[in-house]
Amino acid sequence: MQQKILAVDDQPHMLILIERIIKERTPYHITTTNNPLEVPKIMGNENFDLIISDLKMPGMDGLEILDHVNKNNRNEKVIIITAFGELESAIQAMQRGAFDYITKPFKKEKILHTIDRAMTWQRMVKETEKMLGILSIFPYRDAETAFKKIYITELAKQLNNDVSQICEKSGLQESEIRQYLQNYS
Amino acid sequence: MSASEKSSITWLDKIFHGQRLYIVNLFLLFILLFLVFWISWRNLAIIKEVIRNDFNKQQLVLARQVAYGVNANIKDIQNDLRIESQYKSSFFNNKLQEKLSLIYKRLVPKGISEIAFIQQRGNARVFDASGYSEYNIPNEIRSVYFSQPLIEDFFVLELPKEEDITANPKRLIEIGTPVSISESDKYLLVATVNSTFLIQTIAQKVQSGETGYCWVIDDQGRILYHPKSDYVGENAFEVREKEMPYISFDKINQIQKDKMLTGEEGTGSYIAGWHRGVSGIMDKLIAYSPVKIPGTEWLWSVAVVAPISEVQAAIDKMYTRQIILESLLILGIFITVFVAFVYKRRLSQVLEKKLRRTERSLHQTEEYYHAIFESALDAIFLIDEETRFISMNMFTAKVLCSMLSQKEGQKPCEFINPDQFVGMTLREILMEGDAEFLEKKVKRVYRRKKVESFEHRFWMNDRKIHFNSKYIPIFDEKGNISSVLGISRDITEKKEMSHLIYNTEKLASVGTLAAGVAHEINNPLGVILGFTDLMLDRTEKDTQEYEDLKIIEENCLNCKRIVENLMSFARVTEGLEDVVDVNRCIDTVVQVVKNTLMTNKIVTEMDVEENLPKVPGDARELQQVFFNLINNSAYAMRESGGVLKIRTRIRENNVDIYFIDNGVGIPNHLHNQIFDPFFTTKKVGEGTGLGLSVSYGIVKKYGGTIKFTSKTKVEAKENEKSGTKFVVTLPIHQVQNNHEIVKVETIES
Repeated sequence: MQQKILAVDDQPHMLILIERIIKERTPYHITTTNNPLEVPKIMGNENFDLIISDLKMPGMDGLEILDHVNKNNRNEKVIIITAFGELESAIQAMQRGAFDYITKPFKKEKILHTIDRAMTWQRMVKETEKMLGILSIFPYRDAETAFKKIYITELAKQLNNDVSQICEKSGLQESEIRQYLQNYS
Repeated sequence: MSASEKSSITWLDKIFHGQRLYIVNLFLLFILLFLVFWISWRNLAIIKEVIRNDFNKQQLVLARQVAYGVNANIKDIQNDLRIESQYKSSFFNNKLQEKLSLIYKRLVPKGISEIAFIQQRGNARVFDASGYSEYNIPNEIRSVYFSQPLIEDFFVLELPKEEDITANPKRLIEIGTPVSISESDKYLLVATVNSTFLIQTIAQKVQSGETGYCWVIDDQGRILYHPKSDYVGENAFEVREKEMPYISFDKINQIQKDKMLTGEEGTGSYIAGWHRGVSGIMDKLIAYSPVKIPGTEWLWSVAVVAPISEVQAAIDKMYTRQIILESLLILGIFITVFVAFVYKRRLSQVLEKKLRRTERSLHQTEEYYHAIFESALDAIFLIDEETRFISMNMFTAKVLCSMLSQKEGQKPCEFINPDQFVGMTLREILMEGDAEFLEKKVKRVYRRKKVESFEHRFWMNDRKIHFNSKYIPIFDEKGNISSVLGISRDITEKKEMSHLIYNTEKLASVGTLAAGVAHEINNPLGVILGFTDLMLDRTEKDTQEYEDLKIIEENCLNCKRIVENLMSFARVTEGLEDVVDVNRCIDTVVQVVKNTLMTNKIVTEMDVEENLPKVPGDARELQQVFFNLINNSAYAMRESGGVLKIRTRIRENNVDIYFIDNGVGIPNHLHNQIFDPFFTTKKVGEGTGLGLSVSYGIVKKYGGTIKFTSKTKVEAKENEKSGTKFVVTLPIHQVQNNHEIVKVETIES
């Protein structure tokens, strides 16, 4: 499914630029809006993967959009475009959960890179969700337990019951490993 | 006033002025006193004469009385005898004895010593003190008696001295009158008169004054009567001298000889040696009167004498009284004068003390105000309608000195003396324009009678000096303006300060504006860059379009860099980094000033040490420090360019940043001042004088130092060039754990 980007900036030319960059260089879909106040409505209508927003805008600024995303537990990632010198605001945005920030004027490579990263992230998240969705089916749980049992036992044999090593190799929690070892060895 | 009047006044003034007055007064007083004494002395002398004369006149009266008395006495005796001689028959009975005794007793008081009835051819029957007796007279004597010529029935004869019976040299006189009884015999009735007794009866009672007496001499110069009994009978001319040879009796002798013996009447005075038992030299007053003995040619002279002391007492009393009076008067005058003098002295002393006290306090007050006046750092002066200076304080004189020396093109005066300007007009001291301006103000005060408050500026030695002046009218009692009080305050510093503040604020606002502008520029810049990038993507390399687009991109990037530097420098960044990369700071600053340096033909040599550790500080502030130092170097090399070397080094725990130029250098005598606020050698408007002081403050704040060495061309040695080297030393930041602000996203399980 094509990933979607929402770009928000009070400067129309900047929006055009971003749109052009995205369209010409990325496979992603882009929606742009000049009016930040429309964003919640747009977001209400569809889901996006990424929101690229300017920081300082009249009406609703980048941070507020970020808050909106957080409050509504949306999955969109937000990239903030900041002016050179708004470092503190950028840090603040990061603390509030922005994915990254780009200072303008920017080289298009930079923004592409960041967008790519964000999209990759989102893909990963989606896939993981899909996987978890699959794995949350009922029989899987038992299969999981059985699998884990064998897996841990085998590992324990290989690693001489060294819990920390097992932990490292399997990626499972230590408590879980001990539990399995106790129960099944 | 004519010359003579003038001179007369001064002459009098000289006399009556002050101390001289006393002396003149005293002198006049003495003269006066002397005159008074002299006159009174003369007066007294005259009075003395008068009194003496009066006294003598009295004595004369007495003398006359005595003379008359003596004369009368003799006449009485004669009359008595005559009457008796008429009773012829009474002589020739046996009662003759009785008769004679009666006659004797009757005439004794008149001075007879005996009465005799003498018969020519018979005896003399005498009655005297011892009684009746008869005796025979020698014939010679008898013949003398009876041959005496008669004058008016009398004869008077003097018994010769050798015939005196007694030892006492008395002058005996016989007064006889014939008693004719018969033709055959002649009879005489003769009275023997002791002239002394005769005189004594009268003279004895005489008292002239208190003690005056009289004496009588005859025409032979014999003393007939004198209270001093041993004088009687003696020669009047010799007796005194005999007794008191040490006294000169010329005077009395002369009187006796010339006056008395000649039968004259008169008065006089003489020196005597005796008076009523008191011996000793004394002056006597004498009055003399002649006695003519009837029946004779004899001339006696009566003298009434009294010592001067008689009169003298009165005179003395007068003298004494006069002297006492005068003395009292003089004493009174002197006491008064003295008291007045003392009083005046004390008064003047008290006044003087008071005056001195007042003077002192006045002096103190004067000094106090004078100190204020003089130490005031404002120009305070009095000026009249013709703009002449009446008085001024030291500060005014300083200012005027500079103005005058500037007007005359000389160096400022060494010794400043306010008095040298008193009386000069504004036009004489100031340049024409300034003088005219202030002149108008002064005249305005006089016209409007109100305070004039204004600002004005002078050019003084190529510096603009601002003054804030108030010209205040000073009124006299009539309400006219007597002078104008001017107070001028040098507000150059204040003006410069306000100018500076204005400039700073302008700069700040410019800075803010620039920052805002830069910020705004960033947006379209970003757009341009972005689209250019897109176009570049579509354009083939090595085409003209490609090249053109590349040029556009490059210039846009340039703009971006400039904007970044500008914003970095103009404090738009909100970053509160407290560590600074020195090299980056320098870079930023150099970027900003690069062009300026180039246009001023200044070559910049960078010599930075790589991987310079960070120092604590604020990037903006350190940029400011570097900017200041670079600017100063550039200014020092503005004439003919030069080389600016910027070097960074690590030294122990510090970072040293060097700014080395070969400009004109800083003269030795200014080395102490360059970090002072507002200190600048630039002209007004070119610099504020704050650069180095602020830089110093910043560096110090972060625990660093700024040091410098400098040599001017004059101070440099032969082969050395002039130049300045500034070293900023900052301590290295002690590295701690890097706090990275990155949130780690966890995948929810």
